Amino acid sequence: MPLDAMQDVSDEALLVLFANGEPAAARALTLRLTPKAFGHAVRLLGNRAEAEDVAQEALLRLWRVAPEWRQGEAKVTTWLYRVVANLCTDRLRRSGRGLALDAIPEPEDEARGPLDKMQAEARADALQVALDGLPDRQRQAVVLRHIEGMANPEIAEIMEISVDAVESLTARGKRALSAALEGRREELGYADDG
Amino acid sequence: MQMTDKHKHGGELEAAFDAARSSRPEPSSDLMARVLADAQSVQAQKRAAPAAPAPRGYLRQLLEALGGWPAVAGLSAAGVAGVWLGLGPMAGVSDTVANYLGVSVPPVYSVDVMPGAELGLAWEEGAL
Repeated sequence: MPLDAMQDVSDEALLVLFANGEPAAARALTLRLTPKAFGHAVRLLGNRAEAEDVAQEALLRLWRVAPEWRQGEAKVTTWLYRVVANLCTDRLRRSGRGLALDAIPEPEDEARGPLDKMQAEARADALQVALDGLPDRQRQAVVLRHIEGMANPEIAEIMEISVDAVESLTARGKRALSAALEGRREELGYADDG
Repeated sequence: MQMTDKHKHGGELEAAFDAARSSRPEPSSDLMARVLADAQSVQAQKRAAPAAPAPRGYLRQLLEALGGWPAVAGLSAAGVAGVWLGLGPMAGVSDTVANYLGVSVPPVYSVDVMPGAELGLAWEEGAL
């Protein structure tokens, strides 16, 4: 089956095809889910090398669980984000905090000038540093809500908490982030934005 | 902090989120290759593994747990004997059960399945 024929196929259906041995489903799921797992792990860990290991491990678990996947019970992405978060939490607990912020690669954006691009990079880096300073659960909730762009009910399902608890975590997280960025307003060019 | 400051700082945070969204970390081609290799390896293992036996029904599992058809035949005979004892218990059995339970056995449980047998015997004795 050609890869482009799978663009409209849901993750859940692809996983069934994968379990049935369809090679194209393996390729489609890899292309679709690896960036999500890796991106989320980088946000939670602040470290690319560790995030790569976590993403690979999370997806390996998905491949192994595929034959027992029950349709309609959970979204594949919900399951994946939960596993990634759990693996990241395990690593953070084992190694302690103080993770170095790796250079996060930036996509090429020809439309922006070099100064704008540098400023956006500096802001993203500063945000990641501030995120690293949050408690694990606050960081996870803020990343899922404001960077991954998920709705609170889906975040609640991923984190296995109530929607109210998600709102509380994101509110506290945002307050802490604002406070952390406060001292870097001029450096990050926020003063120029008015 | 005044309201205008709050709005300004909220805007700063939103700008930081915008910057983070636009600089989404992309996986390396090496990671993509490793993940795909894992996926293909799991699929290959499944192809190589023998097919799982078909799930057995509950009756089949119960039959095997009891010891097969010979055991079931013995259980059937025991069940029939139990029904016979229940319908026409011997006097000794009834007394034993009554003593054990400390109650009198109501007559409704004593059913004479051959009411004419005793009369027939008396008639034969009288005839002799």
